[in-house]
Amino acid sequence: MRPVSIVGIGKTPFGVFPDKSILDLAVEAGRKCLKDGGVERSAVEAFYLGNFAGPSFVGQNHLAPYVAGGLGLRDVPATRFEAACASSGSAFFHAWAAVAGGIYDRVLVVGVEKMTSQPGPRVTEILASAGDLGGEVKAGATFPAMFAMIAQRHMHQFGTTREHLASVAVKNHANGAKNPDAHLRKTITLDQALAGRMIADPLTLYDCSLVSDGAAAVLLAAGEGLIRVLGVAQASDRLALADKDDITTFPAVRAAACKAYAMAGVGSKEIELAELHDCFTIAEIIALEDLGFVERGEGGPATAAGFTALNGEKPINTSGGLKSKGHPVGATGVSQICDLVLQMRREAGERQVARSSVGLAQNLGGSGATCVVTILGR
Amino acid sequence: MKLFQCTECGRAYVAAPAFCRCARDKFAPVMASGRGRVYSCTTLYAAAEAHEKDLPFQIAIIELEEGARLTARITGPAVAIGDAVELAGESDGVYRFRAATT
Repeated sequence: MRPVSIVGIGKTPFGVFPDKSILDLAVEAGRKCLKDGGVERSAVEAFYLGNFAGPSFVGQNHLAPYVAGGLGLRDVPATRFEAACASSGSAFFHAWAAVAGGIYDRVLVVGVEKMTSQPGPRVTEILASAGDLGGEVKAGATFPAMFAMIAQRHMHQFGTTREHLASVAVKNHANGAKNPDAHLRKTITLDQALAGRMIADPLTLYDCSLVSDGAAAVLLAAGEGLIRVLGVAQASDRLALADKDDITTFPAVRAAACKAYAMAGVGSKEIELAELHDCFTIAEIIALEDLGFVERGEGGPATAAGFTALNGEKPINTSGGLKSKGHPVGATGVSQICDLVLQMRREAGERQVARSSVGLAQNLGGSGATCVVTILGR
Repeated sequence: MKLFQCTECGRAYVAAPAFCRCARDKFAPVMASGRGRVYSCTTLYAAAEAHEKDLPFQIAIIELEEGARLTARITGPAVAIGDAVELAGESDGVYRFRAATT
């Protein structure tokens, strides 16, 4: 395999943008990325798009050539990847494979989602379609409900508390408040989080990530650049929660992490910062455990103790995460990579951490049926 | 309720998969007792369009006595992890369970 580097990044702010179409968002991120990388459109050899549900959210299908055309990319293969909330993580993984394997020298990856043009219950329904429609969804399960059942079980098995969950939200809002591109730039208190409107017991509104519009892009190139992809892997698991033996851990996360660590030649202790998939607060707690940052059951207490804070031992989601930065689902995986790159280039402004030479991104699809883990180094 | 049991390893499923976890592909129908325990559960206060009229409602992952798990609706008083439950009915592929009465 050839070495692969990230030579350009670009992203739109995340938020509610009634005046911007899915095409506007994707093209804005892609254009910024090419400019950042100093690469001409004609040098891009393939285009990979991560998008979860454009056809449901905005009615447009055949999205990859639609966006490639908007970017002025001619003749190149343009392909869409769908893996629920891990759609652009998956696009990134496959783009890396094509460059590492010598098929292309330069691939542009864009992740995009336009969610806010639909009313709340319809958004919930579209998101739920990433679950098992014949079983859990038919019974009324939503993604908040699935992660609520995961949280209930984690609390039952390990003694995790609602305060532990809320401490993830407080920390990610504190980071997001420092991120000019974040959807919700405001700090919250533990009491506020605990008193939030209940969505699915024990998860309140503050335990849930945001419904956002946005796009992010990265340009991958063969060779040893400043920011290198040290390791990356994707893994899968069964779709339905009821088909998993233990819902307090995600085997796909462990499998992808295991491969990515081996490829990178680093262990969990050497990761200096990470962007984790906090679609719900409990998901960040479990990710800490599955990635080996803490022992099983310790994710909640470690967060409450400040282990993952901006000035903590292992800063997690310095961008604000899905909770505060926002979660346009198809854009999230590539957006995590962009935020790691900003930290590694020491361009993260107010939220810059001191040690940022080895970073990890973990992008989760559904209730753990897809996971992509990426390790970057400079 | 009817379950599908792998003729090799005995694992039971609510819906017969193409392959068992043991990689075999032969299943025999068996009748379930309709009794089990709550593996996890939650009460929803927000739902997808199709279920909004039922709010608030509780769903649970039930582990049946035969070992199969399914996601079901809870009817009647709320249940908690570990509680014994029994089948209360089924309609349109959705199973309803309630706290065990016996």
